[in-house]
Amino acid sequence: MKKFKWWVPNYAPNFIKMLRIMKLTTFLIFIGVLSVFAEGIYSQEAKISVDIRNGSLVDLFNAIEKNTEFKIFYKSSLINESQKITLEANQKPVSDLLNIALTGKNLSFDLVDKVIVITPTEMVLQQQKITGTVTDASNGEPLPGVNITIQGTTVGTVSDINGKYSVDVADVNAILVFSFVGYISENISVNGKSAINVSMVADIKSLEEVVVIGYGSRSKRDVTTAISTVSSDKIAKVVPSSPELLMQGQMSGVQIIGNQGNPNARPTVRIRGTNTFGIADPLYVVDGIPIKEYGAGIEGARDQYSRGGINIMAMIDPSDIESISVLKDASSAAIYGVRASNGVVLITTKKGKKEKATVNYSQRFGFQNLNKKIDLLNTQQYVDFNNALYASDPTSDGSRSPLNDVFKPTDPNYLGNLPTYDWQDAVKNKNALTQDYSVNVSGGTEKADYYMSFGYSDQEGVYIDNNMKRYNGSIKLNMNINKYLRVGINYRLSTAKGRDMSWYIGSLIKTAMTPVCQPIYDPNGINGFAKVVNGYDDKGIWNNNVLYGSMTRYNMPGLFSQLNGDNTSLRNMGNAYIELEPIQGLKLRGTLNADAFDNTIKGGAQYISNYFKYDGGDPKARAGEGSVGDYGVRSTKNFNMIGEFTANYIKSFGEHNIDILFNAMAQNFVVDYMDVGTDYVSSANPDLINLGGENKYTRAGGFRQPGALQGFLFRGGYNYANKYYFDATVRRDGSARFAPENRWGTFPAVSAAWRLSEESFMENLTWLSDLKFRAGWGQLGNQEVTDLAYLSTINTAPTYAWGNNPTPRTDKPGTIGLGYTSAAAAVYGMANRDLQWEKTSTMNIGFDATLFTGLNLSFEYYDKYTDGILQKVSLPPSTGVINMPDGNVAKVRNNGIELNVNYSHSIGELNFSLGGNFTTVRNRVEKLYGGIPMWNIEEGQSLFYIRGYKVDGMFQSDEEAQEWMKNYQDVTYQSAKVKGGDFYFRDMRGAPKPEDIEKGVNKYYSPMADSIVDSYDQVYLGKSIPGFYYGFNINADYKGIDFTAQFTGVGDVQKVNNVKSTFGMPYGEAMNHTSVVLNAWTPDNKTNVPRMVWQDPAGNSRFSDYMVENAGYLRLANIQLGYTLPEAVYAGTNNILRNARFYVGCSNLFTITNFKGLDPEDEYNPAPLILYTGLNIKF
Amino acid sequence: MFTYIKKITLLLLLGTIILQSCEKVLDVPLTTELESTYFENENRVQRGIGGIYASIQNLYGANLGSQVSANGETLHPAWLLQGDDLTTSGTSNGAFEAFSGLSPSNSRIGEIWEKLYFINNRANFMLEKLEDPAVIKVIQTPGLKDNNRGEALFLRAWAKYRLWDMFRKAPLLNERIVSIDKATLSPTKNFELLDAAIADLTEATSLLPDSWNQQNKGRVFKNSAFGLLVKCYVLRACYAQQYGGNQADDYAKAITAFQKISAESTIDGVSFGDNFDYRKENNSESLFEYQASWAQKQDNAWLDNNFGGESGGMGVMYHQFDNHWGNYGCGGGVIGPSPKLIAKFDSGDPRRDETFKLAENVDNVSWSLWWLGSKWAFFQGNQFIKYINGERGNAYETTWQLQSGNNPRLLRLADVKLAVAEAYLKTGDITNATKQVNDIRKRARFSTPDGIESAAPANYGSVTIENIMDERLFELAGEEDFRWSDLKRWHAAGYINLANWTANDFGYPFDANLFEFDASKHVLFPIPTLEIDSNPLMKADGNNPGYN
Repeated sequence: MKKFKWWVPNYAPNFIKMLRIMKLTTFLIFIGVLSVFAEGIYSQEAKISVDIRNGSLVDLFNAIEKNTEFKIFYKSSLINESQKITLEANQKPVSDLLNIALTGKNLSFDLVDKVIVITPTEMVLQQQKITGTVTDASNGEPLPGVNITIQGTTVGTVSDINGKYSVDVADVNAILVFSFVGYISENISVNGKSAINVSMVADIKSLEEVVVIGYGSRSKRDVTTAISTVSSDKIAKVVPSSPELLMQGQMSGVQIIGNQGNPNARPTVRIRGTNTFGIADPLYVVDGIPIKEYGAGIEGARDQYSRGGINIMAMIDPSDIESISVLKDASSAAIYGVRASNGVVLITTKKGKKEKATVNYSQRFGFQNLNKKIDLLNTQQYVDFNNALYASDPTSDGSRSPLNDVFKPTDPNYLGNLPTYDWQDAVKNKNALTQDYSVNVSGGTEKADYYMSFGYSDQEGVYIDNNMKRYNGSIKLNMNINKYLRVGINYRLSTAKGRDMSWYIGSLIKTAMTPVCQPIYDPNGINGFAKVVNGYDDKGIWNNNVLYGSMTRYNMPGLFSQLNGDNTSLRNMGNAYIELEPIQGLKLRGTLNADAFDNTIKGGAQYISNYFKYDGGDPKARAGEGSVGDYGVRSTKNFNMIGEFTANYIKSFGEHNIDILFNAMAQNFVVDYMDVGTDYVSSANPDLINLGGENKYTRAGGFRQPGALQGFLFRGGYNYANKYYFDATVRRDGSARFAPENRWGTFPAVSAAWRLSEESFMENLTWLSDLKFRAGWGQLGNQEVTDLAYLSTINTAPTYAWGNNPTPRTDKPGTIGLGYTSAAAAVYGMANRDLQWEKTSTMNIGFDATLFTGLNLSFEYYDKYTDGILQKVSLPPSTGVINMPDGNVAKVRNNGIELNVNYSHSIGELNFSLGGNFTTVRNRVEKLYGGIPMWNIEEGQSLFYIRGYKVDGMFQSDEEAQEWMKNYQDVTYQSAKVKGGDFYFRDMRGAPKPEDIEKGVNKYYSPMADSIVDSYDQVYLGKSIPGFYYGFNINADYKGIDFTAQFTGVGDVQKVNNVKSTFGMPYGEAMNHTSVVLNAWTPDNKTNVPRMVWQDPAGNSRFSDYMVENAGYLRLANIQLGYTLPEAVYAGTNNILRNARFYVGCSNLFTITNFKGLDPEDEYNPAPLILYTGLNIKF
Repeated sequence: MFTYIKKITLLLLLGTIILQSCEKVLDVPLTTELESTYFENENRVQRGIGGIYASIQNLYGANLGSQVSANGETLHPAWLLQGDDLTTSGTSNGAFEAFSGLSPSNSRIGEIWEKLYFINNRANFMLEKLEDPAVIKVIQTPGLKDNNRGEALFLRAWAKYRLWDMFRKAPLLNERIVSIDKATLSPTKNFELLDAAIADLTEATSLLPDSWNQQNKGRVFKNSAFGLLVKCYVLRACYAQQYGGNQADDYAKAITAFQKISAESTIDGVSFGDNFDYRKENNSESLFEYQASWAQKQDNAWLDNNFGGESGGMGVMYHQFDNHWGNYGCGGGVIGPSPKLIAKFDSGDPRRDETFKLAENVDNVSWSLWWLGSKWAFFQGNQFIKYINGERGNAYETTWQLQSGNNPRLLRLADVKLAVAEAYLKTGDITNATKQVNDIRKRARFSTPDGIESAAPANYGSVTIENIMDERLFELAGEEDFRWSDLKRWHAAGYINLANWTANDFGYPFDANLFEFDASKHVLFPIPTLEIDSNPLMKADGNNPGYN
């Protein structure tokens, strides 16, 4: 019999007692401190109290299992149930109890970790001892807990903490079977040996993660298509300002743009490039509910107001997310053929597991700061600069705005003596607090599982008056009624309220335009803010002359103090299903999904806020006597109802495995939009403001837009011996967006894979654990086209007047002669009945490999071709069409490669992994309507390329300028005023030549220089779609301490440096600038900054490559350090506490880039620095 | 086994039900009226006609832009500044005032082009509907269908006439385009577009009513079509040499059309100033006005008429003539009388006081911005005041005071009479030519505030072409698009030679070196980039001479 060494800390009982009397919150704080002491405690010992009278051994075993985490293994024939025992003990170690109980029953026990094996004593007595060590083949580490049995018997043991075992065998030819969960079993003949050491190989099949593929999930090794996944453990390690950012840098082929500190903002998500110049956003599917939201589709291009400020992803608590799968290719996304052409983001939320009730609590605190600033001239420099600007041209005085007389030292309102104010600082919300709390309860039995959660989030943005609070809750319940019937319900409720004035602020670039001499605060001003216009004079007459020159800007903080405005959202989302399994493997499921999303924007201003606006009119002039402000409410109600029927049959016949799915769905969607407002608000108290007021000042409008989608899906999957895979999907979709004869589109997809590593000829390659080739092709549809574009609708918006109406409309003068007005009827657009689905075909080929066990590699090449792009066709204005029609006209191709590498390894107790992904995108517009270039969309170029002039050089003297102008004509030049220090631009192209047009070549420009610098010389300066992007991460843990660093980057991309183009050009009456302008070219100081001159007669500030820079960057997106309390602490709490982890981290710590503007990703919304700390606890 | 069959049958049944519900799911209810069903009664047909009239606002509003989005500019500088009658205190309209940097990408030119085609297209749409038997059936009022057709033809002709005059080779849009495959129109040649306007007008004269009742005043009537026909023929005659026309024939046709104008239209009893007064709209001299009004709730100058609803603009911009803050839509600077106009105008002519005035006490607007008192020095202290003289300037909507309900007069009999005077003169009928001019001068003499005849302007014994040209300056100065159109056609006819005109002759008050007029180029606007870049046929044909 083997005895285990117990080490029981002698202070443990007191420690527990102490903990019990503490309040929970105090406990949570203290536990971190105490955990330092707790390090090194082994938790194998557990004590229980038993009181068994006339019971059996089984009763004791049950008591042990019930009260501890021990599992007891025994063969029931060994236990004689009639042999009664009586045992009474108070807080005795389990080992002591077993020793007492088993004595005299020819039984002994082995205890390893949490497993107790009951063995017959007499067998041990008779046999030969074999000893050895079991190790992990990948790293040579000992493997504890391996089951070692003698084949054909029930006799066996388990390896100990050091991987050592000892077993007695009777037969020298016996075979030992070594088995362990997650490893391939080994059968080894004893052959008379007394020492057998075994090295066990991990079984990849069982370690593989499961991937959600839509309408089901699959083991990752069986996936034949392009899917990227991020799981909850990764999600837990990122603190994003928007949930989309959970994906940033984590997946190949997925680009997330818009890492900004605004909780109401929506980052842009692009999967494998940009397919279309219409809506290129992916489809979101949350727990099987395809999200449709007014404003997210094509209508959003014109109407973002109706959508509201609150991001749909922000309505889902990241803590509730189990995984995010991105379906990138047609073969995977085909199951969502409707709208899936831009990729599908599948969000699966957590569900209960078959375990006892578990409570997870997590909280996070963070501070965001926008640490960027545009370094402007101070007041004196600013005033001097403006005076120098005027002085540069004698004709300036006649034409300068009299408002700018304030720059003259002789003016009574001279600005030069004022202090310098920091407006950028004034609009920043310093140390913007973000906090999240969430708690969930989950558990399950064989019969049912459940998951409930509640979350609260309060986030402030990096700008003032920008915040969002969210409450959310969810409940998920699955029940097995009987062998044939299963039901479940999943419901999610979230409500959010936010205020977003950031669109007013715009950006630091816009804010920095405010004159630095314009004061922010004024103790005597309204709400303590300084006014920007004169306002009422002593006679009570309103005068809106601005006070700080013609560039006087709004006083934003002052204005906000007078504005009402918040967004409120309420989302009810859920589904219920009933599933029947009439024969084993065939599941018939009916699901009803609903998603109701209401968004309300309330806003208004007090008219007195006109003091803070440079263009503010007389506050008393609006809406008559007694009104102090206006107020408006915009409300958008989205309602989505989706009915689905799914039949799924999974069956294996020997090595043949099949998985067949049929799905029929119908989605009805309706949006109701309402916009009501009044110019008559009689109180400044926001609580008293309601709609109403005097009728003549109120307005109301709205619209309703129904829509419908319908689809049928068939998916068949077959694999032979997990070696050869073949999947095929056909989806047939109908959309109400198209004419009845064009409504239906069929979207096929096929994919296949071959697991080479399963072939017998590969068996000897020990370094290669897994190798799978896969290839796929498929088509997907996009229906995002203007509603009713196939019908010719009447617009009754225009209004006309006829007649001589002798009656004035009111008592105002001027109202005679207004006539009798009526709503007119007109057609704005041009119906296109031929509209069809836009189709994207994707081809995909690649492989997945596992080398040396720890190194995973995947590579693929993709080619996406979008045809029949639903494009607003820019018809010539000579057609008289107001709203341009839609057509299936253009073609765009995206192709590139994706590479993923992951390596994990352990050295002693240090586990670490390195992962990286890399994606390239080559984007080309292949065809446009009539081949006609649309500014920066042109055949043969990347979509949305950057277009402008190329600077050819700078005149170093006036003579040089004259000389150049003898040979060239620049249409932008005011020739008489062009001098040294001005740019000259490259002449590259000319107007198309008639003979070329006749031949059908160079129809839009002639590629020959023509000595004229004009719009034809605006050429490709760079691309806005990055050529590649990547991410890599480092994860490590050691004795409970874990570390994560997540990097993300893009390359081969250009951007306009807006700081340079806005503040770095030495022009612009009354504009402030960066100090760059102080270094402008002069005959004595020949720099490369163009000369300072009033009104820029050479057009140096026209858009050119002077303002375009490379915008590639590498960013440390997230770095985090965590600590998980060791097992002993949980034992110390009697396992009430089951897990606790604390962490601190930082997002966007640094960015490496050559881009000189504010931020290479988004200059208008630079990435904020976020410092955070958090806590996850499991009970 | 039997139960399996049952279950499979059930499954098939279920599948069939789903399949059958197909079409129904996708047949969502329509929430917008369709063209095919909208015109179900006579009133709705009139609303369609009203739509054509409504689109004229998009040329005269304060803050216009491309399509329905405002970019904050008024189009007036484009047609007011090129002539010799007006000038500006600002510098940002050099393209029109000094012909400097006038380019195809000029946004005002693009918008004028686009908006004239909106009118044209809307007329085409109604002409098409008026051919539809289902629509014809619902028009109950006798003759109304013909009247409506006449209105659509007239408005289309007006758009064509202006396009021809400003751009010349603008495409002819005589049919509504219903397919993107047929949306590329070729440029026209010579008189093609003008002749199409003449054809429309000729047909309209036989369809339009003699007059409209009080409720419908302001809709075009027979005399409107004859009046515009006179102008079109006189215009055509002036370009006869350039495009191979028959000048004598055109003048003769102008006279014929003029003689058909019925006596209901007369300048008698209409004081000169009444033509710019919101209280005297659609008077007996009036042939065609844009019926300016206010949107029901708030005439939002940042939205054009197409935005509609209760706030899309219905009013007209006149702040280019004053120092209201809303004048920013002009691009900076006030538009005022040129030194030439001030110098030429006989101080005894009562029309002078209705045309410009010393700026003292004219600032009746409280929201003045930066064009303060001293700036009036540009116009020797004068302000251009047609449409805004005294009480006439009070037709502004009340919220922003940006747009006026005072109708811009697009065609009035005095203009037609002076045009036909040219025709008489050039066909040798000096008596009738003189009579037309003297009628105008006589009316001018009686247009004093108290109605007592003034001494000036005295009658002519017999007129010369110079007399007529001057008379048109005095009578029509600063009115929509008249003066520059006149100068260009007289240049084409050889009555004047713009190539020899100095900056001074153009009434340009600034440094003459900045004045860049080129007679071979600037007599036409460039074809807008918007069109060139989207119309391969136009691109192939190239821009107007001198532009690229």
